[in-house]
Amino acid sequence: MANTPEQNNAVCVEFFDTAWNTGNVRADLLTADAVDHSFVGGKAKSEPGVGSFQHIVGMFRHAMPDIHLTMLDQIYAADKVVHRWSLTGTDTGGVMGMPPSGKQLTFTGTTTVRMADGKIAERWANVDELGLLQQLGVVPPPPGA
Amino acid sequence: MDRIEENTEHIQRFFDEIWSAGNMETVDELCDPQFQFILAFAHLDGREAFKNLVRNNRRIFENLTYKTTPDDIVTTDLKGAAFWNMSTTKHSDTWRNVPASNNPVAIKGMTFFRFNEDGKFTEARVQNDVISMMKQINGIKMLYDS
Repeated sequence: MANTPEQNNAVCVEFFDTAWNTGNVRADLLTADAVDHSFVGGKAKSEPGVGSFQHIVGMFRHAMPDIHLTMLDQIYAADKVVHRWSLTGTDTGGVMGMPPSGKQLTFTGTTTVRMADGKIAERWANVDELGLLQQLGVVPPPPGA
Repeated sequence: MDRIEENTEHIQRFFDEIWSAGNMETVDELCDPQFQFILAFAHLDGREAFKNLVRNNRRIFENLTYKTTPDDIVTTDLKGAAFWNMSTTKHSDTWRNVPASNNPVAIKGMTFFRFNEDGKFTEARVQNDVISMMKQINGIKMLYDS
């Protein structure tokens, strides 16, 4: 029997909490050909499998070893789960190829997941990269809209 | 039509009629008067402030179009989220501090919505690819030079 939307959301919360807050990317919660479609931080291609997820999480956890995920909102229906979140951490390893700033950084984003047979099959993400670069002082904050 | 179908239809109309067609009557029909429109860099308080933003952006970005489909929309009774693709044929006036580049622009983004009990939008929170937008209109270079 297919998972309920609530069960799907619980799988996603478990997966993303564990991945971001401990570094353990749980392959058992991904389908064998799961794809992470996000292109954050200069990632250039999306290969199916756990490696793509490990790459993104590993890159940010290397830059910010104390990185912590906070869920801000969750919406789930049918086979989709959508999360709005923030990530906070201290930049001791260098974000997106830049030298370490030593600053505490916070950036927000959204993640959409398609579930299949109770596992994560696809992930899309939008991340406030400009806000991140502004906090790093790489780009000065422009005036309001 | 149940509430979830109605919410999905309203989100579709939010992009088709308000953003792509500039129909301000649809803002009045679908949005609560205290509607909040929240971006990473701005927080607009009230329906009239939102209308001004739509008018401004539609003036600055020619043929501004937002595309989403029911497959890109997830809704419950009081919440919704939609993936969208935005495009414009020409950035023809200053946006934030970046002067007209005359470039076409295309970016992706996502909007989170909240509905009240009457099915009106009370909040839209946008997460869009501003860095890609800035690159396409030469804004990153401008910011470095400023």
